[in-house]
Amino acid sequence: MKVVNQKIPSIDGKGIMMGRPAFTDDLAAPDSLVIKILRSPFAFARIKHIHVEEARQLKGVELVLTYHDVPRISFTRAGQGYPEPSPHDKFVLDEYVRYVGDEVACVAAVDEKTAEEALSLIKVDYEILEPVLDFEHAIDHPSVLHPEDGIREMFPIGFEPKRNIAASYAMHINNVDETFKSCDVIVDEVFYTQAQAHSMMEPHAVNARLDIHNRLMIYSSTQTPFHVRRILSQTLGIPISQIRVIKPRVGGGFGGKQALHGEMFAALVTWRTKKPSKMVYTRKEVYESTYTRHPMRIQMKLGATKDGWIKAIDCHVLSDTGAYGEHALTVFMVTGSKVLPLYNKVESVRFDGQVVYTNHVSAGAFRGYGAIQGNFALESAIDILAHKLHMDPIRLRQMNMMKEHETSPIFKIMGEGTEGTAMNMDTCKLDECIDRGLDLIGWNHTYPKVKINEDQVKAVGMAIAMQGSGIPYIDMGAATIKLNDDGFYNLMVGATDIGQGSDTVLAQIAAEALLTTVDKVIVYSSDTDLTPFDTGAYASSTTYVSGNAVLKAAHQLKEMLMIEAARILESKPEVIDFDGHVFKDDEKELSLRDLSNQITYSHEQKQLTATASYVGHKSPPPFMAGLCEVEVDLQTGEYDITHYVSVVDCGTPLNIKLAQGQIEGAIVQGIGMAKFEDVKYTKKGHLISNSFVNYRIPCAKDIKKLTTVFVDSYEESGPYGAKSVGEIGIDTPPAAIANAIYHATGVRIKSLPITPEKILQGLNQMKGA
Amino acid sequence: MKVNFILNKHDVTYEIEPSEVLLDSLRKHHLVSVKRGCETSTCGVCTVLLNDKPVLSCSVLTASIEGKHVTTVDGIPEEIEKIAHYFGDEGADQCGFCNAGLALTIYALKKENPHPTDEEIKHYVVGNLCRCSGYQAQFLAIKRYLGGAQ
Amino acid sequence: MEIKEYVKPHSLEEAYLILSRSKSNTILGGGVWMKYTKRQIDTMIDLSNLSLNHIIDHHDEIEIGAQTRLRDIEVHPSIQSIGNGFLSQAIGSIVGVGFRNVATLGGSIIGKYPFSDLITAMLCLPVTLKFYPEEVMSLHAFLEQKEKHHAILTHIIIKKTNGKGYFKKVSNTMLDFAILNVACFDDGKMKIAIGSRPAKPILAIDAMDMYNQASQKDDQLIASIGDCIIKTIPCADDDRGTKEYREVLAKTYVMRGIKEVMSHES
Repeated sequence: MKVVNQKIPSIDGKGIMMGRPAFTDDLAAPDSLVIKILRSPFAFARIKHIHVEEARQLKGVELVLTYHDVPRISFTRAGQGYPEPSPHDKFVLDEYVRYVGDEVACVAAVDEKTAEEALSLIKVDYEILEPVLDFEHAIDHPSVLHPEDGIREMFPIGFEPKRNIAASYAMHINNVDETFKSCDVIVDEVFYTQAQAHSMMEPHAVNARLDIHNRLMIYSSTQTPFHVRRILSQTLGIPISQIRVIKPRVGGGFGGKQALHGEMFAALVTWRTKKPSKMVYTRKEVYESTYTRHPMRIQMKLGATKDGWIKAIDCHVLSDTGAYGEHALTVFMVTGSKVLPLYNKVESVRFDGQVVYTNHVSAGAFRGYGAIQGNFALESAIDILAHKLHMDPIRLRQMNMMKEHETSPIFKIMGEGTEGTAMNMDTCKLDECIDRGLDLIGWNHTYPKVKINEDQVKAVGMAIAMQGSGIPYIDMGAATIKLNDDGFYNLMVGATDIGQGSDTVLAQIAAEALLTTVDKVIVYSSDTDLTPFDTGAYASSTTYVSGNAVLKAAHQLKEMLMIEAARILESKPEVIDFDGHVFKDDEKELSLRDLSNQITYSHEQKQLTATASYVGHKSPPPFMAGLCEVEVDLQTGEYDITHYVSVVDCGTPLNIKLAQGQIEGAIVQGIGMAKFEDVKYTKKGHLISNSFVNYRIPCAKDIKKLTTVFVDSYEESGPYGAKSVGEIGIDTPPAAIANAIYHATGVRIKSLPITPEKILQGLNQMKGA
Repeated sequence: MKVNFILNKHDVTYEIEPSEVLLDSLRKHHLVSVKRGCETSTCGVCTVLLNDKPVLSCSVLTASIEGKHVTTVDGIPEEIEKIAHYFGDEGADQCGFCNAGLALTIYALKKENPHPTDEEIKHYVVGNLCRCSGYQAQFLAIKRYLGGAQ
Repeated sequence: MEIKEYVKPHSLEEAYLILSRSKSNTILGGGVWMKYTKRQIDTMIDLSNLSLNHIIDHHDEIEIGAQTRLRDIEVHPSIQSIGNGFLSQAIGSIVGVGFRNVATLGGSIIGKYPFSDLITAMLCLPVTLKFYPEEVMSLHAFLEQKEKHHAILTHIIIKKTNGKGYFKKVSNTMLDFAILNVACFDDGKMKIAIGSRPAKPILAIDAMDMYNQASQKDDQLIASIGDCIIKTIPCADDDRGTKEYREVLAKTYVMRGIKEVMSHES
């Protein structure tokens, strides 16, 4: 492979670092109206009266919208395939406000100062209601978050809004209770994972204008431009043909931009005023009024024989989706579907639970998407089981974990919105991942722990993980490649580059197939008018789904080129040899450049273009082993992660450095969730962690040493053998770190984050006991 | 009020409000390479060079820079292109939102301390947050730009 | 933050006159924390014409102008040589260089920020503050003052003294505010300061007396000092840590700090 599986620099990094206009707010129309949102000061309230006349009269104010002024059509903000598995429980503006920061009114004015002054002139009489702030007591709480008419599920997801239930699900394979009776050892624990905030560097931004065709043209910092277009059309009653959504450069998403943010307001303001408008979230608004990860309570019960065969897994989940149900069902299902199959030799499995509404910031998609929460519970429980069995935790895993060519019945039953897809693990190098990982971290030198001095101890811990590669039978990606004069190509893809480098990787696939180099493949992506459809950057689908579409299109175009070359050379395609630059048969040759110029300008002119689509029939999981070394101060509970090793099976890493970047970036986000990131509220439901001061993410000095290795693996169904790599990196740190801390201190932490204070409390309890 | 300063080696005069910060003044004048990431002086994406020193442009009153030199990436393209080359080579550039501010910090480091230790490098760039990369690839790119390890 | 007018006076006299005219007039420090406030400021007074941005090493003391940037102080050789670098280390733990090239020493001290790492370290040194109109007081006395100070801080003087220093900041990430910070300095008389409790930095007077008056400076003494710290240094809960946890941190790091800096000439 000449272009894929190589170290190719991104096609756009240089231009961005050099400061070229690239991000959404860089591209706003210069005279855009500034949109500001009046936000609820209460966690749960009903608007009795809202007085906006004074605000409307203020000089420079163009439009003020309340719930009286907007269409009454429920929708979901979640960027997912239609019909969405998330309930349609959101109105553009509503009589109820359901979290501190929820939208009350929308103001558009000539500048920011005027817009803010207008906000202060809006008077609201609220009926304050008792908020639901404890997700463990949300079901059947006297306060019902969604009492309103007009909300619905698009298909059965267990939607019971009168009970504060957004979704529920249950499945079982055989009978876990029976199987437990025959087990020698049982582990039954409850784990808590916290809400995490994406904290991407670019705050959410959108702008809108009417173009010369009087169509609504929107630039949005989004992961799902096609879903945005559809949702705007369906909710605002604007024909979808009159809307164009363009995703420019996005400064990070990680799932936090996989749902609508300001697009509804920018669209409405521009459609009604006929003027360009823009909305840029402040960092405070990003924390308070966009999305978080779903916090969960996970009860994990394992049963095993005394020889270490795991026979049953019983998993109950309670997930907090906050004020609205974006991604409620699907995240919760992934907590099971992309975690439990890791131990596929069990006799019986049960997975069930509920997703509840609370008056918190709405939870939504976030890298890992349930798998990180489930992994923390399962991989911690596995270590607990190992110790109860007096067995090496590595050996326990090696005996029971998924191996290549095996399967799990869970794949068929559980997908990402009810049914799944049966599949064998055509590639699964977990065993090699573990072996390499043990070697790289120096496991045998340290396990379980080594004393550094009187106060400090060094220890190791690990976890394994899996994820997926797109959603089979649902995610569709498409690509169009056209040949230009001079012999270079344009690649148009709907696929959404949000910084993960998909533009570059997809160009590599096309270049490999067309036997050329990346500089000859000019990528344009994510414009609903100009690029073919793609569901968007989520579910780790871009390399596998969009990549396969690019591969198909490239092969189609190559065939067309061969036919043209044969015509010009008066030969046959079967005897022509093409090396990417020159077509040769036994006698004559023709350069691609000459061919393209000829068919553009001189003779038998035609435009060669190929379009192909791809929908996956399976979702081949990437696998990895994550191993960490910690140094713990036994006096204070403080600890450093001195080394984190990631050994990954993602099939062929199509771009070695970009794949490494995906793993390392995800590992660091996982470390943040494991160590200190925490979305925190006051007792009244106000967000304390609403800035970078009070919500800390890892900084350069926090990261000591990361080692990332890819094992040899080739997934036949993936483009050039690739699986996905975007999410899996985030899954292992919480359990790996919890397991290392246990080895270091004997303290088992079952709720995230794993703070020094919790460790010290645990140590003190052990001393006391 | 007016303020006169030198922007990327050119004399400029901006008409400003007294409470205006440099970040907003620059973006108003279409220098979109300077970005806003927060309101609490915590993220570093707004970094520019003020008299060759990295500063948070969100925290500098434009009124206070009379006669001073401001440098954004737009003013030192050859150096930035070099840094971008190493970032591309190490795969350290992902979304790019933090890159311009970070590049200026790295350039300032090279001028202030051309042969820093690993600790000194991290100490100098720690205020430039990144959520995409995990920092290690950035660190390797910085070392190569400074002429250190391979 | 809204500012109506921005002025750059040419003398301290002129600056003080403008400052005294209204409670809504204020001196521009670095400006880093000021923009958090919703304050309406009538006149912002920029002192950059008044040559208060300097570090001068006189023989027996170091004079720092109040307008000097934290980063310049951090890297200055005279500052780095105080207490084997513990003051530079404390200053260097504040956010990043982009922040420290804006924030000034004067602004950091006037703000009396309870989480301030540099105030904790400076409390252990002989630091005098000079104000205009004519007024001189120790940093310690300034921090104890309850009333708002109306004079202009012009200079900070650190008397040179030989000794070892220690600074420790306990925090969730290397950029976060301290859950607790601790400084020790021993030039013959041990000084111990604890800050971000979460309340403002204070000297641990009882612990210092215990150490300085003891004839045998051994492990037993240090252990007793640890217990004394828990008894005499008030800590409280906040989002970053509980009272009990801060007490453990205070005790542990004071003990470690003393061991590191104690002069071995008892």
